[in-house]
Amino acid sequence: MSSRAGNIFSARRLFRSRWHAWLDRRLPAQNRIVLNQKKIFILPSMMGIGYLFTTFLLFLAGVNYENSLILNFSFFLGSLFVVSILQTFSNLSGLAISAGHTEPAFAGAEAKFVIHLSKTKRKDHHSIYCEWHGYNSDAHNLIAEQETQVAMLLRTSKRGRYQPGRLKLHTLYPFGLCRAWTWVDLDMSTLVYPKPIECDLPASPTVNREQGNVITPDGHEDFDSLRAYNTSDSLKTVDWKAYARRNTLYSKQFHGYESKTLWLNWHDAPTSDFELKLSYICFWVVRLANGNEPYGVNLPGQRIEPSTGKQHEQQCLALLASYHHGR
Amino acid sequence: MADKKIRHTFPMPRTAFVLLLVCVVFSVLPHIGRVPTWMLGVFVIVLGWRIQVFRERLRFPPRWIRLLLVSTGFLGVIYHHGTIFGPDAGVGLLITAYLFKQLEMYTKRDAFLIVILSYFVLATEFLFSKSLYTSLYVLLVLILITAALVALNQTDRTIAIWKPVKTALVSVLQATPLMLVLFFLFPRIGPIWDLGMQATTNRTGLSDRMTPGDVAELSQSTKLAFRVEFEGEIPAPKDRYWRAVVFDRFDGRTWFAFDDSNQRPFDRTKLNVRGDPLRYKVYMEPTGQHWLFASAWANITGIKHFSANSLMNNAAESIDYPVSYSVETYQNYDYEAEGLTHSSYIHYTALPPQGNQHAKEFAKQVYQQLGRDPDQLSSAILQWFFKENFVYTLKPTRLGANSIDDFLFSTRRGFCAHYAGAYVYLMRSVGIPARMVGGYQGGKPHPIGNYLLIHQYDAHAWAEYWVQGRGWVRVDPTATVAPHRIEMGSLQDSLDEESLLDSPFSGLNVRNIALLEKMRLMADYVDYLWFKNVVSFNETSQNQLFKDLLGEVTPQRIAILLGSAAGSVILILAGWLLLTHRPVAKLDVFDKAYYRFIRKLERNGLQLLPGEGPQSFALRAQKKFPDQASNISKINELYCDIKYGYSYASSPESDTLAARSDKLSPLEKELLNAVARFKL
Repeated sequence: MSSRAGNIFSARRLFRSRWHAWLDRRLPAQNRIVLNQKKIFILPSMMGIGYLFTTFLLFLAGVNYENSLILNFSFFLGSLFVVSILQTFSNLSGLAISAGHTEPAFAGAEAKFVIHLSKTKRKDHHSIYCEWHGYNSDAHNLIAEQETQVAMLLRTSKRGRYQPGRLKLHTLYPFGLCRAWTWVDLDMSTLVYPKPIECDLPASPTVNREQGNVITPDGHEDFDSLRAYNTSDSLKTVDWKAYARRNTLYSKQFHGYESKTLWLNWHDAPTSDFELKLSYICFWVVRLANGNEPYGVNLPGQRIEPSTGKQHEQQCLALLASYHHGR
Repeated sequence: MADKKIRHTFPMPRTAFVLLLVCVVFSVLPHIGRVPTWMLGVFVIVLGWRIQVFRERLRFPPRWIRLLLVSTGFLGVIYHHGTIFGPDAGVGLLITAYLFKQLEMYTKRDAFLIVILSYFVLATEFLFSKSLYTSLYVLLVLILITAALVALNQTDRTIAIWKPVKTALVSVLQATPLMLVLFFLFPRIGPIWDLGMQATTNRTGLSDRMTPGDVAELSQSTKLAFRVEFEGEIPAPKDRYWRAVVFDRFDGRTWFAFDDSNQRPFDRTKLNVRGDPLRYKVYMEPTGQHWLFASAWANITGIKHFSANSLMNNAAESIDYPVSYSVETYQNYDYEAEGLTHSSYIHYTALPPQGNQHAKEFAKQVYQQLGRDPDQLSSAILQWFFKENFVYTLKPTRLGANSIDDFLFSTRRGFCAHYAGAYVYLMRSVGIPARMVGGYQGGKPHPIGNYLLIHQYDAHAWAEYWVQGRGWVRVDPTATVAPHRIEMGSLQDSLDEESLLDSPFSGLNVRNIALLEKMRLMADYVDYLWFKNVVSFNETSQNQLFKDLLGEVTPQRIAILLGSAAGSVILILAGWLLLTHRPVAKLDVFDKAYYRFIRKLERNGLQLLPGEGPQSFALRAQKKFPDQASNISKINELYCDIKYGYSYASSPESDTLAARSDKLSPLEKELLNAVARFKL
């Protein structure tokens, strides 16, 4: 019993792998793909099957009533179906699909994938839908415009490099009787960061203080300059001497030397679970990226020196996304 | 629960909705007569409700209202027709369901179902009419339904309503060649099962009983009864008789048609023919009866029928749809000349024992005087009709209980059935077998086509009597009273006063009638050609076509013929649809113009270097051709302006792309002109 089920399972797997191998040969991964006869599949839709059934009923009626005109009506519907195959096919053929940019996401959130559809032939493309990893796009038309872009939000699950696999483009236009589709591999991928999970990062031992590396504005250490007083400024910063001299309020500006460089250490994350550790660290990267204090990430075998800014944040997140055991 | 009831309706594009509604109305329109009149009101309410739902003024009706409406509709149709069988009732039910489905159109699938049903409802129209004009109407609605289907699948909502109509029209045209191939070459097969249809079509024309005494005014229908297409010359009017029914029994007032059930089959051995055969083809309009129209003794082919001993021909199915068949006949024939069987003799001389005694006595008296010669008696009766003051009229006087006596000896006004009936009565009175025949006589030759038009007003009744050695002899008593009726070919011509009683043209003056008549004949001719070549195309005509095309007809050859014809049509279409689109232009107009400019220079020895830009090229060109320097610089400036927007990019209003593209065209024109004028 179980071995039989296993056989069926392996047969199905074999079929699947064959099918994918065939698809890969026929539609290899490319950044830009122009759809042609070899790349488009077509089959009648459910509605098309209903339509063919009606056509058959009319054919029977024509035969049985010996009614030439009803018979001819069924022949017409049959011919229109053939036209529908060709037109639906033609609606996809000549369409160029090219990979656009991607936006990374945190695990469990939606990553943005953008693709571009453009004409290569002087004809219109109507009502084209994209289906990608569970995401169904709205219909897109290329009528007056030469090119359009489709942004798709694909839900991610796991941290790491995310490759959503083959993108399906399909259309029912003009009659809804046939569905033409293609599976293209645009070789697109994006990074999925760990899912940020809130935790308390133990403050003192994990925070390494180093002296005087970075000058931060709005510090409290050395006098920097004077500027016009703002009502929000503390009265402690007011330069009273200057007020006495010029009868105008000035605030004293100080800058500090960064003394609180934060290291996000692997071992400080309050869990033993590998992924959870990354999630905790990820949460703090996001949290600290909103502040001004430099932070660094220290993982076993990999570390990123403390810094600030968007680029630094992305670097850290990328490390967290692709970090593996034993690296 | 309450939430469940709120349906999320499919946001149907406006164009699709409008087209769908138009389709529904047009598909149902020809079938209006198949539902009770009061239901039209219901239909209007249903459609109005649907429109209000679309405009978001109303909700879809709750389930119980829909159930109530649809069951009322069904019951109404069933009550109206008295049955649920037959094409009329069937189509009535179909369109009721179809219209009420409008109130259940929630999803795209529902809308699609309505489109499919529209095709179906539209096709059923051919059950009732096959004329060219019906077909053109069907074609028009077909395009609209297809347009609705396109509109349903269209997602660009800015698109104009004519766009899907255009797509549909193009698609219908694309489908036509393949349809024609299938129509002519797809093997025709006979009916797969017997439908056992009941004739519910309104019976028109002849009926199976005739009571001349009750008719105060014979209604004259201008409807077409049938067309006859002769292989050779059209015979003279006096020879144009088409039998349909034999009236053999008389109860004193009414003549009854020969009962189908007790007819003996036609016996070929009792038939003698002389001379050349006459061949023609009959295109019959539906009658709802079984009778086929043909000359006396006719060999009918092309339709399933039964030829009876009475020389009637009954089709296996009642003629509810237009049919056509071929007839071979001999003008000169005799049947049962050797003698009648005893039962036939009794049958054809039977008269009710009571009533009409005066006529009986009269006949016997004359018969005695003429030495008991049937032929003599026959001509004597006709002579008498002629000499005495008998009048042919369509408005006879009503007759009393002894209708024959009343007619022969007091009123003396009547139409063909009066004369034929009285004649048969007189003949039978003295024991001569005789019968009345109902059918059509005359007809009008079509001025263009080689065929006759026989209308309902050509319906006629005449008589036959039997003599030893000559068999059944046709006698037309009306001919002696109103010879015009027979020789002119049509009653219509001979009776001016009554001729246009119920014609649609009454009230118009004669000249208009002539013009309209011409147009009507022209229209009939087109319809006839349609009927002859398209509607009547059947197994037989297809076999003939195969023989002409293939020589020897075998299933393989038919398959090859059909396959290659259909295949090539599809291939041509596929090539057209998939290969003929030109690539998107990579070069703009101004680029092309600039390349022409470069080529002109290259022909004169100045080559564009690889990777060289327009500025540097222009400088070199100016050096080489100093006399053209200003032109070269102008072209260069124009090109760079267009291509890179040098001078215009700086002006503030040219920031947007739209503003720039507006400016392009005069610049482009200037560039094109400059390049065209540029000569070295």
